[in-house]
Amino acid sequence: MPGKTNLLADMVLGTWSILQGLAVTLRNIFRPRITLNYPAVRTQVFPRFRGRMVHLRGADGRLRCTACQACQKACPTLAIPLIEGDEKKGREKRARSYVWDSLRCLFCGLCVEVCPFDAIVLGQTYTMVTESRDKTRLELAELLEPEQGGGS
Amino acid sequence: MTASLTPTEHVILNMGPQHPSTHGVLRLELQLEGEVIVGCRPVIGYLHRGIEKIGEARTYQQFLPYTDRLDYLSSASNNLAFVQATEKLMGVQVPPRAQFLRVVLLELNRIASHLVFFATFANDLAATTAFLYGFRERELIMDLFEMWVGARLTQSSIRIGGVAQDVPAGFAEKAREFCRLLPSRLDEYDRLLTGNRIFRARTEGVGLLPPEEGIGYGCSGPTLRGSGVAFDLRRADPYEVYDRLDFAVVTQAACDCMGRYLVRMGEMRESARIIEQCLDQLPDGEVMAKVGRTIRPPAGEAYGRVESPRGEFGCYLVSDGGPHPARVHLRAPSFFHLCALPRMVQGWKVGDVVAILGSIDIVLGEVDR
Amino acid sequence: MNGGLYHSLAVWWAGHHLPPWIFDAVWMVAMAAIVTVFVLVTVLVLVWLERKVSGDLQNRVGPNRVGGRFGPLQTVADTLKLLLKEDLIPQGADKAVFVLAPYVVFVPTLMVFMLLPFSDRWQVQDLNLGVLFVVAISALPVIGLIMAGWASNNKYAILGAMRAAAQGLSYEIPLVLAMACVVVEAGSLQVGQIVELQRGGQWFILRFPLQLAFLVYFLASLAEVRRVPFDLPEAESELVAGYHVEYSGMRFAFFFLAEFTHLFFLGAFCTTLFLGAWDGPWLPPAVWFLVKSYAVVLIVMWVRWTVPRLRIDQIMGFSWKLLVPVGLVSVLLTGLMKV
Repeated sequence: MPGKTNLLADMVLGTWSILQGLAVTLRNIFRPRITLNYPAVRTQVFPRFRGRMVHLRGADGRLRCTACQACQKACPTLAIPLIEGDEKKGREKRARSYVWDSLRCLFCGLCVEVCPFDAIVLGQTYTMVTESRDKTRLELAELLEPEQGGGS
Repeated sequence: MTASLTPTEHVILNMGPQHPSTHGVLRLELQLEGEVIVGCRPVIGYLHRGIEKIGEARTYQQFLPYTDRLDYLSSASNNLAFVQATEKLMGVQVPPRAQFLRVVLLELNRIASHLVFFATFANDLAATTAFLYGFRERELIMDLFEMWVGARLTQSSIRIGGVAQDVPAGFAEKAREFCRLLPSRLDEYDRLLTGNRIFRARTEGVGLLPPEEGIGYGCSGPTLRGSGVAFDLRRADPYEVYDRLDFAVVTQAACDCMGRYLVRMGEMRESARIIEQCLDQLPDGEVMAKVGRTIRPPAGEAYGRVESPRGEFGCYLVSDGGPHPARVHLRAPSFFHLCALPRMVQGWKVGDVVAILGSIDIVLGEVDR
Repeated sequence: MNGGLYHSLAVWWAGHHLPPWIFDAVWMVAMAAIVTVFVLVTVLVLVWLERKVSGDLQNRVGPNRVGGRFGPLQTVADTLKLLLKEDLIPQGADKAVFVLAPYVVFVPTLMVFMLLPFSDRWQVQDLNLGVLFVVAISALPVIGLIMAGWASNNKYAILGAMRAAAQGLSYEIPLVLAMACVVVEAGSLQVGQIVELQRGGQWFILRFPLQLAFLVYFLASLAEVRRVPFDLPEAESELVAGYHVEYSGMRFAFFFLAEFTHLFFLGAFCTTLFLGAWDGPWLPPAVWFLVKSYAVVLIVMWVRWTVPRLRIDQIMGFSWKLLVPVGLVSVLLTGLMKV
């Protein structure tokens, strides 16, 4: 059985440790809040953020994608189910349809790295909310540059 | 004695797959005699995704993002184990700048993972505020990852031959600022939780794992170092540039939950020191070796091992010379710790299971693969 | 109320030559209604306060949408949601006991409010056995817990209920000992007398051995209300389901209501016994009473969001091995000081 002084010391030190903890939480009341009042205030993501796929345009205003299917082959999860090009050949060829499956995508960026024409990037959009599963496969028209940066 | 006339049975208590404190989908079948646990049977497989089998149908680069999702709290360690095995087979020389950057990424992952450990361990013991403080600090690390790699959790930045992207301008400054901030925050955690009499009553002397048994079960990492065994792969089998860095291997002799907790808290401080050293010594140069478009390692087998925040994470790779691996086997430290769990909870009370399970810090992603 | 209002109304009623018991009945119902409304409003405020305080301690904001920037109507929204939930009674449950249990827990907690001296003129009934009444009635909710656990037809509910009952009974002893100190100091069980002796700033907490009694009372009350660090019976839902696992919707809300009612009573009775109730300079007495009660409640919340919880055997050990001896010592010291 512990001696009487040990019990007293334990009580005193124990109480002191709890008071120290209370002081820590008390001090945190006076620190700024770190929650954002979403959706009024949205996080600004960093430039390299890997979000929704975006098809880029060249200097001539046309989309750069030539439907070479390198991205489709590089993707680990088959998240690019459909790529079709027009009838032109070589460097003049351009993609006519392109489907990106946002649910299968891992946002790993292998497609971006492998593209020989820098035609796609994973952009800054992180809200891809839809009401039905059909709308989660995005067509070329929906994969263009967003009007404003960040969020949706 | 009436005891011999009254038939008694052990109560089977199911700490089911849906549970706030099992750190993932784990089922524990506990056999109770009154309040005391006499048997424990972990049931796993609820998070099995067939990753090892998937590996046989993907190219080496394609498989890399899958490794992120194993121990998802520190994805860089998983990446590195797989990449290390591949690089051993191919004989690739990683440029020095890439090696230092890999260590920075690994140690940031270690701090992030240990912060989650701190937060969830505190939350299991009802110190909810500490939970939020841990995640508050982790957000700073997530920002660093997002700034460098673009992803907060599953980075897949460690690639075969180096690192996918170099650090952007301003990263070193921000990382140093974080490393300066971290020790004062850890001191705050110590004042809030570590010395707290109630916390000590819940964790000191609870869930003992004698070192011989720990080694026998194949434990590693903080679970083993909390039992006094100074085994750290970064010292025992150095990889990347760890042999050039100055850091201590944190060990505690107590063998209890508090010991394992203190090891992880100490490791966070050491990791901050490692990151600062790497940023100081960062050489210029390439971040990726020339490895070619298709990766076809010569036929053979290799084992890559990394000191992940949970222990020794290993990747055993068998190649048949083709573009896909012939076999990928992943050695997850949490699996072995889970095997040791029944031994650790034996004889303790129901309320201690939560503390012991929290202290071995398992992630079901790597247990089930 | 022991005030002029009752007497003047009684005289007015007697002037109409109607039986006096009708007046008494109406009076009692009116008092009960007023107290109940006060309690309901207080619980609304306390739940909102808990969420805001926890947000502040955790660098968060807390409710900030319902009813304006500070979210004051959040609890109203939550209560409406609970009212609209499906009322489930488990198969094989003892229906009558199951339905009755929440009320057995709530009603005694409400009954003791009649002794609280909200101001020098506002006290529903100043029983001459005041403190003894509080002790006796405060023991009744434990029956409700056992009823809830038993009637749920659930192994884990009854385990949780047994633990909660054991905890409740164990902490009655130090609670009574701490109250006995106050009674010895005041020389009376009557709440009015206890408050009277603390007028003019001579609060009991400032007198020597009663600081110890205050600590014992505070910790024992924390355990009676089953708040962290003593909340294992409830947060049993962490490991084993607690006693109210099978309750949903409004029935569950009653347990919740009972907990917060008891929390406010903890603060209010602590104020009455140790902090001088409504005593204080230039603010109205009722305001002082509320301010002091809420101060104690805020400290309880502060503790709840900071410290981890104890295991059940540690909780029992703390009561029997620490609080009871300290309580006995404080009673002894108080008695000696009075000699």
